[in-house]
Amino acid sequence: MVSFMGVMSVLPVVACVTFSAWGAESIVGSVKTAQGGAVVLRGADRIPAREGMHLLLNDVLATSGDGRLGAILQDGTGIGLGPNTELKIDRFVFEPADGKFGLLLRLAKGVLAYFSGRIARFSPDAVTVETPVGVVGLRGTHLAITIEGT
Amino acid sequence: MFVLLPDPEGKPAGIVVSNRAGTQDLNQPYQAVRVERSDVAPSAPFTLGQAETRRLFGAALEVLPLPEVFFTLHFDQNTDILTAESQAQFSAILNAIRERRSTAITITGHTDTTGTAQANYQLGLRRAERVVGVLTAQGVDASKLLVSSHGDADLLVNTGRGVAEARNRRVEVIVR
Repeated sequence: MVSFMGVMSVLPVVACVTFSAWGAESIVGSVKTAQGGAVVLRGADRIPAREGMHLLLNDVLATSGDGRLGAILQDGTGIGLGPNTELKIDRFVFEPADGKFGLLLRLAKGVLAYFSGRIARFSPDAVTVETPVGVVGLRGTHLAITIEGT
Repeated sequence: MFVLLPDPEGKPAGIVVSNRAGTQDLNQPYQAVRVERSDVAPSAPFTLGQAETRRLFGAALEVLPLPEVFFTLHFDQNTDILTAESQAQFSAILNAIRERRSTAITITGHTDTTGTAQANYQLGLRRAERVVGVLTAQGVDASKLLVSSHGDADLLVNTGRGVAEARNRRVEVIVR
């Protein structure tokens, strides 16, 4: 039973728009599994998550008490969300030809399972998961996080 | 709570959990730390039992996707003709697409350094389109294919200009 106070101070991440190297559309990933209450919050839109739908930068993936969501990002990063979870894809830079890599996932609440993709392999320091209580830096890794009391 | 899970390939892995009050390194599977608040340092690392890991994280772990899978297809020099070995890979590619019900498959064409950069960009694109043709003929929806050419700008084997190198004449297919 933990309540956290405020939100972890934000890393000085420079705003960065990513254009996919392979097309005009900047797809950053796709939903692989959507169960129960699972939505994608995109700007003012609240889109029911469905298998195969494409994900864009700044999408927020959200599940309700009976919801779960699995997704894969374009660099091969795997994401699993348990119930009552909210995760924002805050930064996704995957431009191997230019040596540019970055991934910032922001877990506001709930349960996240993660395995790393090529961004982490090319640039181990480029991947960060931010939570209300702390920041995780990752090196080629499987991990899981739960934010308690949310 | 943050827990490091075993790498399926057994590679060394680690995470660093930090906030403004402190930092902890985790480098053993099932090592975990608890962080109460952003202004309280992470706890000392402890080992989380596998049963407890499943209880806390099972719902999220079960929906993790299959990992992406890579295929490299090769071509005869200065053509978009697939080598025989590469043609034989399509059944595996199609299986991977079906198994994952993929909707974002990247197909990237590459060339060696013979010819001009501009011509190689076009050749890389023709190679990629050739692969698209085979996949769509097998029923893959073209809207799921993200097609591009890197020409001779992304060599697998580094060479100087004007070098015929079979390993660079390729299309990379990533199914996820």
